[in-house]
Parts: sequence; C-alpha cells; structure tokens
Amino acid sequence: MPVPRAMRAAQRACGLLNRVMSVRRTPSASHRECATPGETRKAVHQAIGCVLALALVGAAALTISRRPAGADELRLPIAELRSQSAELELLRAQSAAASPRFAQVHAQHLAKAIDASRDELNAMQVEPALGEVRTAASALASQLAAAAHGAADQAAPTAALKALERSLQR
Amino acid sequence: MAQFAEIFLGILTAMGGFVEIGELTFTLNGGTRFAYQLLWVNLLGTIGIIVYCEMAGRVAAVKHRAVFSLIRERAGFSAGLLTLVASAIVNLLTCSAEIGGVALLWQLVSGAPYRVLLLLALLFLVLVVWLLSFQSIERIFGLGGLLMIVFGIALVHLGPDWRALAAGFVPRWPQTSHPRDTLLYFYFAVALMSSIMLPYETYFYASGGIEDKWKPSDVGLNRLVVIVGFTLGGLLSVALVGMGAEFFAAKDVEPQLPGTAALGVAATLGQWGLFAALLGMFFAFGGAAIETALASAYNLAQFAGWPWGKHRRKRDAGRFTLSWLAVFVLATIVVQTGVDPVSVVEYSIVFSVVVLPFTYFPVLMVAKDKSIMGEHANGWLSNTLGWFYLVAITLAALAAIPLFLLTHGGRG
Amino acid sequence: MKQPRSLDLLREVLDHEVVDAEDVSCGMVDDLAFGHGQDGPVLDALLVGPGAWGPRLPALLRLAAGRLVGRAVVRIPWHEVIEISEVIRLRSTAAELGLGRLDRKVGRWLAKLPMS
Repeated sequence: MPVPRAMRAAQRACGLLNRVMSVRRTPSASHRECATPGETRKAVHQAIGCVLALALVGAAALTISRRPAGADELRLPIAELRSQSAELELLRAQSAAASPRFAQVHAQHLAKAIDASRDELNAMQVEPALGEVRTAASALASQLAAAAHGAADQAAPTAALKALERSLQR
Repeated sequence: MAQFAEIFLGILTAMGGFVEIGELTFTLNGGTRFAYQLLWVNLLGTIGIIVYCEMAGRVAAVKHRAVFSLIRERAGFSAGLLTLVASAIVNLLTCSAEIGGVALLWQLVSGAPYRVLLLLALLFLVLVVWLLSFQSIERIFGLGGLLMIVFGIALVHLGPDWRALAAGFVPRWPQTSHPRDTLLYFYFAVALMSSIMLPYETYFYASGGIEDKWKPSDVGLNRLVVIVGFTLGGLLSVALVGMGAEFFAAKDVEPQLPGTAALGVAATLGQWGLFAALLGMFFAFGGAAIETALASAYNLAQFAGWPWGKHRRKRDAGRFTLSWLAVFVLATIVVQTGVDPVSVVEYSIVFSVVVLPFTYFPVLMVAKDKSIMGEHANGWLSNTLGWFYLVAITLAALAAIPLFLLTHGGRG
Repeated sequence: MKQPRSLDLLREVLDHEVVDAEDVSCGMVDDLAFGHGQDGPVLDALLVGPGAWGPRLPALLRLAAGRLVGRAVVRIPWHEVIEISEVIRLRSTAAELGLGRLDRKVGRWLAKLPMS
C-alpha cells in the first residue's frame, strides 16, 4: 500500500533505523539467527569498555575505603551506637508498656544492630590521632553489646558514647 | 457506595509511598534530627504526587492508557527500556524490604524464626494476590493501613509544639550546628521528596484505574481519590515527623527498626497503641509489597505489549501473572541473603530519583495534549504545577547522588 | 481501513501498542519493514518481537538479548492494520497472526492451577 506523504516520515525513520532501510530489502535479512562479525566486534569493544569503567569505579571506591577514617567517619558508628544505647534504655524503661514477647524479640533485633555497628567500628582503620578515641569507643561498644545480649545488670553507656560523639563533632 | 470504595485505591497507593518500611524509618529520623524543619518537603511532595497521579489517573480514565506504554511511545524505546530496568530494580528492592518488614513484624508478635517467617510472608502475599480481586486488595489493605493513624493519635497525646509544627511548612534555610548537618538536611529533603513521589505509586495508581474500569465520567472521582488518599498519606507522614521530633529526639534515639516506631507508640499510648501500630504497619508494608510487585508486572507488560491486569483471568494474562510471581520470589531471595531491609530501600529511594523525570515527562506530555485528551486535557493549574514539579524533580535527580556521597550515604 | 492523509511513522506507529480483533494486546510495534514501490520506499509490514527490537540496542545488549530471548520476529502485513489511533488495531486475531504464542503457552500451564 503506497503511503506517499509518509516518505518524509520514512526518511526521518531512516536516520534512526539505518539498518531497516539498508538491509531490509528482504525483511528477514536483518533477523539472522547469528550475530555478524561486525556486531560481535562491537559487542566485545563495549564489553571491554564496561569492564574498564567498572574497574575504575571499583578502584576509586577501594582507594577511598582504604583511606584511614577521619573524625567525620569515626563519628558515624559511634553515633549509631549512642542511638542504639539510648534505645536499649528506652526498651528497658518501657517493658511494661510492650508485651513480653515484643520486648524480647525487639531486644534481639537491637542486639543484632549493635553487633553490626560494633563490628563496623572495630574494622575501621583510623588516623593515628584518633586511635585512643576508637579504643575507648570499642570498649563502650563491647559493654553495650553485653548489655543488649541480656546482661540486665550492665548499664547502657549512652552518656559516655554521647560525650565521645561530641568530642568528634568539633 | 462503590464510588466511595474507590477512595481505597488512593489510600493503598499512598500507604505504599508514605509509610512503607524505608519511608517510615526515614521520616521518623528526619523528625528526630531536624524537628519540624522538613515539613515543607512533606507538603511539596504530597502536592507533587497528587498532581501527577491525578494526571496519570485522568489519562487512564479517558484513554485507558497506562503510564508505561506512554513512556515507551513518548520517550522512545531506549529511554523507555532504561526507565523499565531502573524502576524494576527499585521495585524489586522495595518489595524485598517490605517482605522483610512483614516478617520482622510477625517475629515481634510470634517470636518465630525470621527466615521461616520470610517464606510464610511470601506464601501469604502470593495467595492474597492470586485469590483476591484487585478491588478486595485495595479495600482490605487500604482500610487496614488506616490503622497507622495511631501515630497521629500518639503525637496529639504527646502535646506537640503546634507553632513549631505549623512553621515547619514554610521553607527556610535550616538551622543546624554544623555545615555537615546542613548537607545532611538537604540530603533528607531530596530523599524525602523522592520517596513521596516514588514512580511505582503512579504506575500502580494509573493501572489500578484501568483495573477498576474507570471511564471519562470518572475524571472527577479520580481527582477526589488522589486528593483524599494522598492527603491522608501526607498527614500520616507529618505524624511520623512529629513522633520523631517530640518523642525520639528527646530520648536521643534515631529509629532504624520498625519495632522502634511501634515502641514509641507503646510508650505513649500503652499496649493497645502497640498492637494498633504493629497491625497498621503490617497492612502498610504488605500493601507496599503488593503494590511494588504488581507495578513491576504492569510496567513490563505495558512496555512489551502483553495482555495484563488482575481483571483478566490469570490464564489470559500469562506472562503478566508470571511476572508478579517472579518479583515476589526474587524479592524473598534478596532478603533471605540477610541484607538489612531498611538500608536496602533507603539506597533504592535515592537512585530512583533519577528515574522520576523519565516517568513524569511522558505523563505530562499526554495529559496536556488536547488532541489526545480533548476536553479532559490539563487546565492552566495542572500545566503550571506539572512543569514546576518536573523541574523540581529534575533538580532533585541531579543533586541526589552527590548529596548521597557527601553525607556518607545519608548517615551524617 | 481508516486512511489518514499523512502518517508520522515515528510518532504514530513505532513503539505503539498492537491490539488484535478481540481487543487484546498482542505486542508493540518494534520496527518497520519497507519494500520498494514505484515512487520509492513503501511500508510493507510492522515487525514485532525480539528480533525486531534487538537491533535497536547497543551491540553488547543486542548479543545478550539474542541469547536470552532469541531473535524471533512476527511480521504483520500492513494490510492487516485497520485503525491507527492510540493503539494499532488489527483485522485478525493474535493467534491467526502468530502473535502472543508465549502468553498462550504460559496460559495453558497456568490453567492447571486452581482459580486461574
């Protein structure tokens, strides 16, 4: 069916669908089951480009992560531990308002989160000047983890963690 | 009565955007860190999602076209495919977080092992979507999600600073103690805006309008549904900010777990408050899981031209049915690997902001086109707001990832 | 067929939904096939399927897509088109044209499950 006025639209379509105009004299010709050598070569080049780009991003991320942590980075897990410590105190204070099962299970969730924050803190490589702060924070984190895992006589060290956090905020 | 029940489509969609697990903890944290200073973002985002869902719903009612087929038509194959892949990833991660959230809530009530509950949550969600009609799902989860109003009751009970709350709706430069906190404030603003205007809400809402067989005479109903549904969602979001500002900030707690949110209500209202919060969160997270799984299937089917819809028999929409089943299964596998569901969805929200302009631009182009929409094309208000929000979300898209990196992934 | 005076193939046909005689979606227009007429190129057929949209991808993705989903193409002769509006409406059913085979196959499998 002739579509004369569509010629202009077809020519615009040709710009985008190059292969359609040049290859599609017999429409099935462009729909071969196998890739052409040209397609394969292009695909290999693009794959190499993607791998290189990923490698660059990965290398950059690795370099940044291996840098010793400064005050700003060290403050983050300490702030999380402070929040978790405060939440443990809140849970202990509100155990009557919550059901026993809720309190027990939520304490387990909180303990797991505390363990994750403590592990992050212990795994950090910090600048030499912050070594003492990190050591103090690790000790408090262990104390908090013990309190969270059921040592009811162990106090949550919220105030001490808050003081450490403030010292890093300057 | 049947028309009134359509309101639940809006409520269910809003629940999935405003109070899914990531958004819940994120909003609480926003209130804890910045008190009421981010409320203007809540207001801005709520109006934005109302504007775009109204447009998408109107196109669905008048032309029976859903968002993703518009995206492919208007943005082209490559841009459409990029949007499809990006939104599929966001939907999958969000669905996995919600399934994880449902399992966490069940564990808080039953004490059963988490991984077993994940499988039970998967089975439950599959059965709900398989057995129930679209209308039943929207009514049950929409109504159940309204229990989240307990957070509003808790806030009122706390006696908030109403003047500070009202002042929070006026945009102003943040009052923070350190430039780093100012950066964090803007990160929260961008991420909050993005999470309120998550694309899957628009996909789900417009497809839901077609599932509910909306006609051109339902254009007025569409407007009512988005305004009521998303305003309720917005008010819930304000209540969460208030709980953060009035309760958690005073206790130095930055909530990271759904149980923490429920604990805040328990401390204020007692055990009945705790159970209402847990039940409300269950319907909110479950509704969000269903919304994201169905949105993924809608997107794929509409992009590829497959028959789709819960209104069809499953055998008549085979690939669509397999798609939502696959999303549920894959999402459960993701969360079974042990990833923290809350972190997963917070990261995906930031990356989803990049998808927003590709989603909303085609919707605006079609909704304003008189040759397509006739008398139902955008008026001056919809056009003005549509363009304003398109610019706003494009700027947010450009700022999102730099802010994410500068604030150590939004931690501070 | 309703005949528009002019047709913008890119805006009005390509990447539009194809709907069969039973009003069921059966694909998207993934590409266009031209033949040679007396006055120049002539639109011969609409192409639907991975073999049609595959060439629109970058080479690497094209290769991957070809291996994952194959390169099948369904050719819909232009004379099958009876209406071009928001959708491309066809004269025949999807089954008659060879469209939606996978949906029907999956549907037969799903039909064995209860409440399908």
